[in-house]
Order: sequence, then C-alpha cells, then structure tokens
Amino acid sequence: MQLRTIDYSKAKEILKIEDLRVSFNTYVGEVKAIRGVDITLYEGEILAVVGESGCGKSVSFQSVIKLLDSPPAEYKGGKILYQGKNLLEASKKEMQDIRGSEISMIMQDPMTALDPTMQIGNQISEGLRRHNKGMSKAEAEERVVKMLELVGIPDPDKRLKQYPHEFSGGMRQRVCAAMALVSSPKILIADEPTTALDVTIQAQIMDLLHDLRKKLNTAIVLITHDLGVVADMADRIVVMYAGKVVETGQVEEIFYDSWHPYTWGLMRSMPKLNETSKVELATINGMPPDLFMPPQGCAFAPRCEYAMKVCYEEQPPVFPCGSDSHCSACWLMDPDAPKVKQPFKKDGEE
Amino acid sequence: MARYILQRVVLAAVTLLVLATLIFFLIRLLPGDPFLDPKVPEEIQERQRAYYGLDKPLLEQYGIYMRNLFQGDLGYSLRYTGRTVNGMIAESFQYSADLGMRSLVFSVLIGIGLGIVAALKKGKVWDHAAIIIAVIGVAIPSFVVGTLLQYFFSVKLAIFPVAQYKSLAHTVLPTFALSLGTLATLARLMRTSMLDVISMDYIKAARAKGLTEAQVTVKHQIRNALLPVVTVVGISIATLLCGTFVIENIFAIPGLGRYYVMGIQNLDYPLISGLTIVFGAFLIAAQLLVDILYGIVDPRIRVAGKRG
Repeated sequence: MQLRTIDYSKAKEILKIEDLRVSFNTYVGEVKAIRGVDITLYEGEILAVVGESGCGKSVSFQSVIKLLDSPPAEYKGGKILYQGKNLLEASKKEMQDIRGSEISMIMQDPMTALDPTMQIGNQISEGLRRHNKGMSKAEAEERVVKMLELVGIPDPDKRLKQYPHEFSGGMRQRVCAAMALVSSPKILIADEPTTALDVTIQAQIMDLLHDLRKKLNTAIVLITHDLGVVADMADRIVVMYAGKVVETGQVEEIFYDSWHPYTWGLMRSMPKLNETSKVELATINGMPPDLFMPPQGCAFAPRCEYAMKVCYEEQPPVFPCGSDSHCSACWLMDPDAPKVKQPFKKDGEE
Repeated sequence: MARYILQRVVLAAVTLLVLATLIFFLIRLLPGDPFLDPKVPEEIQERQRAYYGLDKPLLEQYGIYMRNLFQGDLGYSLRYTGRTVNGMIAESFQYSADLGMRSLVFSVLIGIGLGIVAALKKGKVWDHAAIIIAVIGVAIPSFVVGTLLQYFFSVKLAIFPVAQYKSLAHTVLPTFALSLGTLATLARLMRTSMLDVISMDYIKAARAKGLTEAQVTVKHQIRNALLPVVTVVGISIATLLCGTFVIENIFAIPGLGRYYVMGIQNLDYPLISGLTIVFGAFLIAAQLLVDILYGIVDPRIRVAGKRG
C-alpha cells in the first residue's frame, strides 16, 4: 500500500456540499435524484465517488459547476460552498468565471467530448483566453504546448494543429485533461474518465491523473463505479446510493474497515484474480429504489441482509466510525443494534 | 485537394457528354417533329427539314451536333428564325443567374438564420413562427406563392411591379416566391441540427471551460450544426434551378427557364439540348463548389481527401 500524500489533520477544505437536493422534473413526475448529500473536498486530494448507475454521483458534481440543464433539473435545497461562496446562488456570469479556471471537468467519453470541427490547440486555448483576457495568441499557444507535453502527447507543436479525429481514444482523453487543466483549476471533476476506454489505456489515464495531481496540486474528484480503479489512486472514498452518501472514509478505512452493508456488497461484487472462472461473480440482489417515490427509511434496506425494522421506518443518521474521516449512514452503527462482524476487516478475511 | 478537384472536373466532363447524348436522342423520341404542321404544304416542310439537316440519318445528325458542341456551337434555334442558341443563352442567362443567385443567398441566409433563432428560442414565439413559415414554405408550391404575391403586393397593394425584370423592385417578388420552399427546408433542417448538436458532450465540455453562452453557440453549436445543412444547400441549388422555369413564366422574366418551356412546346431540338447542357454544367459546378465548401467546414472530409 502506497503512502498517502494527504495529512487530513492539516488539510484545508476547498469545497463543501451541504445537504444538496436536486430533482428532475419529468413528464411522469419528479425524480428526486439527490436527496441530501454532504461531501467535503480537501485541497489537493483525490476523492473517489463510487456507486452504481443512477446513484447521483455525476449529478452531484455536475451541480457543482451547474452544468445540469435546468429544466429539467431543479436545485431543491442545500449549499455548495466554494471558498466560502454558495455556488447555488452564484449568477450565470460568476459561474462562467469559475468554470474552467477554478473548477474544471473531464467528460466521460473522449470520443464525443471534443468538437470535431476545431483544432485541438484552439479547443484548449479558448478556455484559457476566456479566463485571461489580455493573453496573446502566441502566449496561449505556448501554454497549450506545455500542457500537451504535460499530459504526455508527443510532438505537441504539430499535434495542436490537428483535429480530434486524428487522435486515438486514449490520446483524446489526454487532450481533454489538458483542456480541463490548462487554466490551473483548483478542482478537477473527472466523470468516469476511463469508462469509455480499454483497460490498458484506463491504467495510463489513471496514472496521468495521479501524476498531474502531484505536479499541479489540483484536487481531483474521481467519479467512477469501479472500486478497483479507485484502490491505488484515491485518498478518500465517498460511497453513494440512491441519491445519498452512505459511507465516507479514507481508502484503507473503506477497503479494510467498512461499516455499511452496501459497501460490503460493492466489495463482494469486485472480480478477484484468484477466483477460478467457475465461481460466479457476486451481485447485490434486488434493484435500486424508484426515485419517483424514495422510501421512507434507508433506501438500501430492501436489498440488505442485515435490515432491521427501524431501517424501513426511519432514515439512518450519519454515525462516526472510529476516526474523524470515516462515517457511515447505517443503523448497524447504532449502539442498540446487534453486533455484526465486518466481512472486510483487515486482520480477518479480505 | 487539387487532385480531388481535378478528378471531379474530369468526371463532370464525362457526365456532360453523357447528358448531351441522352438529351439528343430523348427529345427525338417525342412524337412529331418541329416542322410538322397540317397548314404547311408537305414540300415546304421537307425543305425546312433539309435546311436544318433533319433529313439526314440520326447518327449523322448526332455526329454533326457533337462536333459543333466541341467547338462550343450549340446550333440554330428552329423556331426563332435566324437566332443561334448560343446567342439566346448569352442574352437570357444573366436574368436567370441573377434571380437564382438572389434566391440562393436569400434562402440560405434567412433559412439558416431562422433555424438558428428557432433552435435558440425553442418552444417560444419565434420558434413557433419559424415552424409555421417552414410548413407553409414546404407545403405550398412556388407557382401558387408567386401568383398570390402578385395578386396582393402588385394588384391590390401596388407596392411591387406585377411582372418583368427591370429594377430592384422587380426582383423582390420573384426572388421571394422562388426562395420560400428552399428557405423553409433549410430553416427546418438547421433547427433540428442545432437541437441535435446542443445535447452533444462537446457543448457541455465547452460550457465547462467557462465559455459564455454566445461563445458556445457561435464557435461550437452553429458550426457543427451547419454540416448536414451544407449538403442540402447543394441539392437546393437544383431545386432553385427548376423553380426558375415556373417563376420566370409567371413573372415574365426573359430568362433561360422561359426559353426552356417554350423550346419543349415547340420541339426546338437545338434549343432544348443547348439549355439542358448549360443547366447541367451549372448544376455540376454548383455541386463541386458545395463539396469543396463541405471540406472547408468539416475537417474530417478534408483529411480524407488529402490521403485519397
């Protein structure tokens, strides 16, 4: 296990999402996609946000830079505090100034995230020049070349005159990374940056992000549904389920000391190298709840083998789990709950 | 790119040759002949046919016609006595070209503009207005539009002249009548294309860079939305050309289209052949131009051309 670079006792908060609620107004009704999410991001850390499709991980962070189309999206409540400012109350103009220069985003699919009709050099520099009004074309180009070098694109001064279709998928994702980081943002939101790439390229892009964090000290939010990707990369993990955060902790705490049955389910369903092909992949039984009518109690209760009566009746509060950085929203943590053996305890079975 | 254009030019020449041959034989398949007239004595008809060489075997006629064609000579009109087809085209081409260009520019600018506005104001008044114009434009044929325009703006309101083509005021109604269909098609297409593009990831990525809405629209959305529209502009040129036949007749414009219609009514073989070749050449040139334009708008085509 590699050494974490973040000392959380000294780390400074850079972004704080408080009780965020987002709904989508559709023809058939209101989908409560985000139902009170609290996430804190510290300077320079890599925070992985994991959870299955539709759990609200992308929506939470697209809300941060307000990229959700509204309508249908509607911010129902909560705060997104960036440097003491609530972004949900920021004006259009203020948001435009923040996007790209303070908070950036890498899209999921590099094949569609670049404009096919524009040279990549221009695509990278247009954001830069938007945020640095006085910057000359030559200066911008110089910076773009540096950026392309940094993300590992060979021959940057030639490549910047090329169009996206002249790049491979992995190279495009590097271009996207350069595009997102060119104005040195403090936060980079990477929304499943490797899902559309093949496995070897995935590893390269992850290494690149890891490397860039070291060089630029940008905090990275890594949205993913792949716990394996997260393990040797992230500092902290947020596990989301049905529009809520169910468990938060540093990587070791989630992998070796997790307390939420949903996290256990996720860990069990990771394929293991030492298993033979005859062993069937473990799954979490059941389906995620219908967010048109979110359940009254814990959303995971119907799929949870430890579910108690209270789980169906009342939302679990967030319980601390031993350390400041680790907490879990599960009734099992209640002092009155029956004691359960953690399946992924470090000195037990792994 | 140069090689590609050369290829296209050679191909265009072959196409024209085939076109000239086809039209030469096809019009002779029409029943009757130019001088058939029960009121004119047989021997005079024969003398006329002999004078214009129509008594020779068909293949020989074809040989003579093609030889002249290669020298740029389209022959004599059979009905407009003593006039060459070259002369008639030279004299009337300017009117058709003028009307055609005006209509093309008008329909492209207004059509695309209307499409953009409709897409940006989706669901609002402007959008509905654009859709109504589009439906009207597509549904009503240009001759009906032309006649109605004449009736209201010339006869009733007397704002514009009824017919002929002599001043700017004369050009307004025919241009509008000819453009409306194309304008409507382009507007509708541009609107759809704009709305397709807006949901693309690169638009979101452009917003994520902090670009203003205006920058996103102009630099990314419109440019990409234009791609499918440019293709249709090529086809629109053909539509506009055919439209001139009718519009020139309605507004009594002394252009090519009017001669074309009369040529067919009179079975004026050289006139029909000559005009077909001119129209064909014009259309092929326009298509080539659109293809080159497409290469400029879409870099993917350009590079493929470079390699090919």
